[in-house]
Amino acid sequence: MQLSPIISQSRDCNMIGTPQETTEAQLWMAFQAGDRAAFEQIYSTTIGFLTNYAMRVVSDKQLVQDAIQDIFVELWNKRENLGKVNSIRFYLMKAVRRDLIRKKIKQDKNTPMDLFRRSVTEFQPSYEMMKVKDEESSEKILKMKAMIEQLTPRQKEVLYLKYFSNLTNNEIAEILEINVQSVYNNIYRALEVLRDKMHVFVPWYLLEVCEPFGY
Amino acid sequence: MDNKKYTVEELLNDDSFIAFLMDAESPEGMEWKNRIADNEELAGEVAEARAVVDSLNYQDLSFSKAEEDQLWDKIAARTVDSSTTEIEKSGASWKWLKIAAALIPIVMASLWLIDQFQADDPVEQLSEVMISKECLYGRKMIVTLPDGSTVKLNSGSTISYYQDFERDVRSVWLQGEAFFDVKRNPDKPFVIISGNIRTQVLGTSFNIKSYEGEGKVDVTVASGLVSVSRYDKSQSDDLQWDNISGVVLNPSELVSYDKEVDEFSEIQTVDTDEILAWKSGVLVFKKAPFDEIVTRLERWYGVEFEMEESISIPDGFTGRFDNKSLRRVLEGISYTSKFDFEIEGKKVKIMKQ
Repeated sequence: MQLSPIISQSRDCNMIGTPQETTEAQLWMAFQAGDRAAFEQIYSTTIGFLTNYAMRVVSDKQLVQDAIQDIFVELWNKRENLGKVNSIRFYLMKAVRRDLIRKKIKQDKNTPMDLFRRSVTEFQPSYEMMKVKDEESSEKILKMKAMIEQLTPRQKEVLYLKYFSNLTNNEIAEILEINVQSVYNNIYRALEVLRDKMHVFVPWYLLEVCEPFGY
Repeated sequence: MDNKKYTVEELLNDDSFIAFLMDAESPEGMEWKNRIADNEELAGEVAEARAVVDSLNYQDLSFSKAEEDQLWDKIAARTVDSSTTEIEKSGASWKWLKIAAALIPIVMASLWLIDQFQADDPVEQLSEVMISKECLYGRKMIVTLPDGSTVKLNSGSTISYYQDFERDVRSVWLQGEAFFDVKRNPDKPFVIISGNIRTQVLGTSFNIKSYEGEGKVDVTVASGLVSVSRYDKSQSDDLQWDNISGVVLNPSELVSYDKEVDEFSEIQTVDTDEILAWKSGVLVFKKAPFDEIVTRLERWYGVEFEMEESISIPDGFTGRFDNKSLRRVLEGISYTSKFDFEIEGKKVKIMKQ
């Protein structure tokens, strides 16, 4: 069976599936000992994934840049006091998310004028609608976007962490600071919504091949 | 072998199955491959589970290589002083980096300023000639845009677009009512600005009604999908897809935006034939009060009404006129509502009975 193109293209999947624990642990130890090459390697292997995730938590590039900068600086300054880390990526995601939300709340306080902001994070899956090559899939993405819009921000984020970050439910719970049961519940409810919509959506989608009417 | 049945939800909650979706060659992936090969009944659920995950279709939002490098330079600059020997050698370059980093905001600000000046420069604006097509009262008009999309304008409506229409996004400005039949082009979304509402599509047909003086903007979809959201004039150079506010409409759906309270209505399912009737010369009234009838007839026939006082029609007027003359329409309406009328050229006199 072939891998679906969407999943295989995604860059963050390169790191998933072959977690070489020894090298990751070694990398971490070298970094803790003050090895700058190790530090740089940690940055270069995680930055793609981190920015990809962070930009969904807040769609504000400046904020994301600031948070990542602060987290890495702190990581370096406190390296000797840090404990053993099982997954560097998970550790950094957690730290970056927390910092982003802290910064976002602070920023929101300073700009009370914003009428459109509803909650601290509006988790955005963000569809690549501008870049899709063939028309059919653009339509499909629009449709899917409409479908995903039915989900709550939390459900969207849980699905992202589950299916595109390959985190366990325990890890997701820890990142989102909720309990594991509510991670399960969110996944179930989100999947229910998606499947429900998919059934309605498929026949219509097939009809869409017809010409739109003219005069 | 393993003939356990799984529901789609169970599959999608199974860590080893997710690992299989992400990498079929991983140990868990291989296990699942074999399991599916041995258990044909599983195939349907597996396909559906895969479709659900595919549907999430996450876009790559990660930074570009240049942005990553830039960010690293900043981190490196901020972490360098606590490090040891090698820094002595490259100390000078770090210093430069710091200066360069400090300069970035200044450069950015300058670029912004240059941009601002250019925007105000009349010479610069000449290259952005705006083309306007106005459909006068009493007329209908079909406009073919440079990309082949057609716009049918209702009476008293204007459409404008830049001469270099097909730049990044195909954008048009609409005042009044129009039916759009948009040529598909996934690389260049089609955006319509009407007041502070932005409607975006890739290729579909739909109707927008946004007359000045009317308190709302109605968007109705005939085919395909359309996204409707607020449009912020202060960010007019940013016509890109806004995925925060707004709604997505399916065929036969209408959303109404209330200008007064700045809110979208619930999405309604409507009879598109009725809403699009104007395209084929059919005038449809639905519980219309007299004032609405006057405004619409003035536009439709390009006439002016004269009257002492407004006529009250209990429950409004409901009716349909298929390519009828003004006289026939007025006869029809006056039949149930109590008024007489006289048509003199472009003037219509209304008298209370």
